[in-house]
Amino acid sequence: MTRTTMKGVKFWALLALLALAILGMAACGGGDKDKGNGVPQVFRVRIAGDPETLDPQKAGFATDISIMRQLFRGLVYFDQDLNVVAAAAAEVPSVENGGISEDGLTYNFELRDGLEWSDGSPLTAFDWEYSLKRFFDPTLGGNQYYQSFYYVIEGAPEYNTALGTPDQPLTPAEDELARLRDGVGVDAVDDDTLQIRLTTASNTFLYLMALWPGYPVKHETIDSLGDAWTEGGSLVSDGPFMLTEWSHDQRLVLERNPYYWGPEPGLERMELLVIPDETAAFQAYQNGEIDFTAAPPAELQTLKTNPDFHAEAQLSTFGLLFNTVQKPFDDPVVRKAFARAIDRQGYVDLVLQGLGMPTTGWIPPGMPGFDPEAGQALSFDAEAARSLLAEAGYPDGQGLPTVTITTISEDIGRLSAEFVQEQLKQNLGVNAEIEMLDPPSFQMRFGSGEFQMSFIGWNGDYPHPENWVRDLFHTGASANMAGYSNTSVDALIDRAAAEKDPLAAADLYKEAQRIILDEDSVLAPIFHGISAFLVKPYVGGLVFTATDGEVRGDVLLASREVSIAAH
Amino acid sequence: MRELDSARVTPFPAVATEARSRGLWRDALRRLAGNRLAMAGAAFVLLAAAVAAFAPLIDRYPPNRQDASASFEGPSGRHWLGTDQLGRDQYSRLVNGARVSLSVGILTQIVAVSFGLVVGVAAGLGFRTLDNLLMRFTDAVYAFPDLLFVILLVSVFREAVAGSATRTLVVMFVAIGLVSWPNIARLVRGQILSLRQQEFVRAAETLGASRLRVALVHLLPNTLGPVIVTATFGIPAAIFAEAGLAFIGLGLPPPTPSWGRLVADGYDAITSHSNLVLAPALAIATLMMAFTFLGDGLRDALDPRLAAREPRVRALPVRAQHRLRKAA
Amino acid sequence: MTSYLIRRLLWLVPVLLFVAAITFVLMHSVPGGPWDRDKPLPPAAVEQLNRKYGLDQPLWEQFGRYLLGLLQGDLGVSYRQSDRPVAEVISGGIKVSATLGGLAMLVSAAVGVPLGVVAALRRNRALDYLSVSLATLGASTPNFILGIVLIVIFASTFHLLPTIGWGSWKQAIMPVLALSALPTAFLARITRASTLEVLQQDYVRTAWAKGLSVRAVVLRHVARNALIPVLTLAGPLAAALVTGSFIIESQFAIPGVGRAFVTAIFGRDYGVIMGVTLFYGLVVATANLAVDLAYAAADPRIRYR
Repeated sequence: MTRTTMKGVKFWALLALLALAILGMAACGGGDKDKGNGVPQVFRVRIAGDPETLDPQKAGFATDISIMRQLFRGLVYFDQDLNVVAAAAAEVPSVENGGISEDGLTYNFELRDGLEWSDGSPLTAFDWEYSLKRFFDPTLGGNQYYQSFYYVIEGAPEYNTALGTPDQPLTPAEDELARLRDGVGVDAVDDDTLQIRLTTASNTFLYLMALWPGYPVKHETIDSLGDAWTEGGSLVSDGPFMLTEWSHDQRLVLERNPYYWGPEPGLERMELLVIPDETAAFQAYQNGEIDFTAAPPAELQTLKTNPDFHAEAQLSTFGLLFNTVQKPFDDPVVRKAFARAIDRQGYVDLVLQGLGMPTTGWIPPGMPGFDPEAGQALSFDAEAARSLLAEAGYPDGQGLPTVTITTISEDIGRLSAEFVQEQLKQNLGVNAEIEMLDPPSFQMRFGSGEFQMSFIGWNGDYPHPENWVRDLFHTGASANMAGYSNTSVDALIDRAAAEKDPLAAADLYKEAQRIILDEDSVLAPIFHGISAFLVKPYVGGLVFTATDGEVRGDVLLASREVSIAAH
Repeated sequence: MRELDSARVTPFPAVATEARSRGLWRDALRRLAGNRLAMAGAAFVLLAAAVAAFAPLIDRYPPNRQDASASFEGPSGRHWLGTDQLGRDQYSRLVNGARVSLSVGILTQIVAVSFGLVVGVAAGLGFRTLDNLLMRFTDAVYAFPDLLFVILLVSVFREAVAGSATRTLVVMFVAIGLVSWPNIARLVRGQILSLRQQEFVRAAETLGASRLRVALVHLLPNTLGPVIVTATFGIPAAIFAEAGLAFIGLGLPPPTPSWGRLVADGYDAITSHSNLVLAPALAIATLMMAFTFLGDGLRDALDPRLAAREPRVRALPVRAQHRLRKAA
Repeated sequence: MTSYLIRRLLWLVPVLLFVAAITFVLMHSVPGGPWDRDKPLPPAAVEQLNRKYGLDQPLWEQFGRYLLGLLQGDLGVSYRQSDRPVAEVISGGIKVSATLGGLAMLVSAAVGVPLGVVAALRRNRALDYLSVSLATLGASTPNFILGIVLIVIFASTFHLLPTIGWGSWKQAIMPVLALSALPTAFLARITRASTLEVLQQDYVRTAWAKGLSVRAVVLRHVARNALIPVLTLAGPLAAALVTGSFIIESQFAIPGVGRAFVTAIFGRDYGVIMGVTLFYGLVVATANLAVDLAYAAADPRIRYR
């Protein structure tokens, strides 16, 4: 064995080297830039996962909403200050122009002339009638979350709940369902006029009509293609862009809709690339493969000085929610003790690396009802926290049952939980456990109230405090996971809903907030969100609003001013 | 004719029982000691075990203590390996993390080996139907996607054990162990089957010894060598699995540190604070290499045919062999 | 030979049935269901959805219906992707993962096998230690760390390669490298071990004694026999690669089947979970079968049981 020449071995070695060399050479090819005559107006954005659905009446996820905002337009829409402006409707209905009846119960929307679908066929009020009635169809499926927002429409709750509840199911006959459907107060008077009747007057109805359940869908397409109607190339919409490609789990391509009634968008094309890994997405951004991505919090220290870096205030609040019907959090003094043990500034410094607004209030700045003094009773004070806990009967945490923080295993969930756990230990002497669950398990527990403490992050769907207070804190509200119930708060919320004067309404919400926070300590608000993202310098004209979805700037991404410069 | 299709990989040749005496183990140890890489590996493994055992004595801060003023600091006199996002000392977390990682590695293999031995011996006894059944069962378990099955199993129990580090660990041991045993079972079975060819086995059986007794007393000890080697390779694989689970969010409940969790946590800051990933990744890498070299060394050492200088003694009674060696 | 083949093929059925049954039970034991989403659904809606997809029926009935559907080639629909047929959801992923895995396999074989042979020929010398160390180093880092290191170096720093996506040559390089590190080391080790063993054989010693050159000895005598055990494990290894490493797929934004599986678990998308597991089971079982057949063809003793 010692007498060997290297020839045989060299052969294999050369082969291996050759293979590697081939691979290496392939790497050295130049980049292929797509340079046509001018600069291609293509915007590449990262999304974290494949959209669940792009069906407006079924959607609920932030990513899906961002995409639908490019594909569809409702009767009305938002401008950059979040005012409601006319979209497919010729003008925003009001009492002055006769669009809204004196009693506020009837809305008439006059459509623009010449509206067309992205396949060229005419778009009429009948399409809106179909779409809205479809929204309340109890057999529709999809995220049934937003339906109750629109129950102010006549006949809507009856139709939507026609199948009863699991405890008391109902089995209405076909014609009964049809009758209920006809009973929904949405009617196309003619091709150009849509009439909607409400059961009570509402300050927020126009906001609701600007949201995605109010986007129209084409009857014929859904009939012929069923659930596959949302695929790339099949989806028919009425907005500035159309869906030309949807390679599942890979990317979506949106291109200008030639039949759009409005001004042509500045962008010719948008590519939404599915990149699940945030760190890899950041690298892709560095590598020039995408033009826009969220700034990873862990990199914020170095990114703050990067010219591509942008920080925009969001209409959002994040806090620690207590389950008010589970020991030991059924005692408001205990809740208050825990709330006062959390150093919010420390949280913003560590978990958010400085990018957030520490707060003790729930309704964020920029919203009517915002109160800079809100939640003062919950401000950070370790001493006070300890004495409150002793007052509640658990001096130094003695006798306290095991407390658990339940959260989703995503980064901010984990970091937040670890931070709060340590705070409770240091400032209150309480050893909390952390349960990290995957999303469905978490939803199951959270939804059924099987938790003690959990985090809640709330983004505004539309700029009105009703969205912030009623849905979370009203007794029996769909998102009231804390099991909270306080009749004075309910009364305030109900009064505010009926209140015509916005200032008076804001005061009512403020008062409700005061009870929820300072008296009942239902939750410990921690921060108002500031979203951090990176945009390439050659992308111009982006405008950010406080209700942007997953893709920041999505509300106004289709505006004419958005442009891509040479790069 | 015996079925051999699972015994096809024979890096561990089946040598007659007589040759495998206590003398062989000693010889093996001698050979192992001569293998520098293997010794280095063994040394590192022992070092890691020591660190794990004495972690609370050698760490410098409580591993979960956060420091709002020291987020993402680089290595310094105060913090030898820097701090993470929440200001926790990485060095302290690393040494404490050794406990979890090593226990994951070792305990999963204990589960795997226990299962594998039982199944392998039972299958190797020579009863055709039992063998068939067990091997098909092994095939079926083997057909499962490893990590994917672990994820499924961990997900089933996750919600029930989510708050407790110990219980989550137990689920992990069992899950990872359950996907690792088929290899050991096949190995053991193959060894036993070929060993049973030997004359002395036939002799013993003819004399009235039951198959089970023969298997347990004579054959099993010989399979231990290869089984240990396989388990040695399985340990780092288990540690990897733990890191993978932590990466997708199915790891231990926070804040318990483990090397896998440290890697997963540091991953997000890899561009601007690469020191956070470097330390635990290096620790895992070195431990893996240590176990690999040790395993390779064990395999080489236990294979007498590689010992070119040893006299080939076959079919000699044990004591005769001994005398021969002593004389030499 | 044919009877052996038939017997083994027939065994595939109960094995796959077993895989299907265990997976089915396990996935229905994972708490939470497909309807537990971002925002909680009202119970009436959940009830209705369960009825629509037959999820309110007893487990064994659901399993039975699934099997029946399977016989007709129907893998069910994906709950998370608006009822897209599971077959459609995973077929794209399968192609991608298969290509990725195949390429990784090629690279590992091209690098690992020669490395192992060299190490065996130069046993316990510098080259042996070096080769083994090199191979093991690549395999000692969790592959997602390898992946991100490659990305940081070749993409964000030197802008040589694209990070994300799948379809072009360049997009394949980094993921394939990250994926092949472990198999390379594995193959190198196994090749080394079996080459060492073969080198001890009498017929090899005869060849040396005859004065044959290293090349002749290696290629004609050693390689063929040394590769047999390598092939044994290469089979299941290839199967493992083919089904896709979900971590690499997530990192490089590759729409493969491993990623689809993890997404399905987190989404409780039962149809996709079953589909991917069955596919994987089939691949592994087939790979094992292929190797067994090769052995049976080579060694007649095996065929007669």
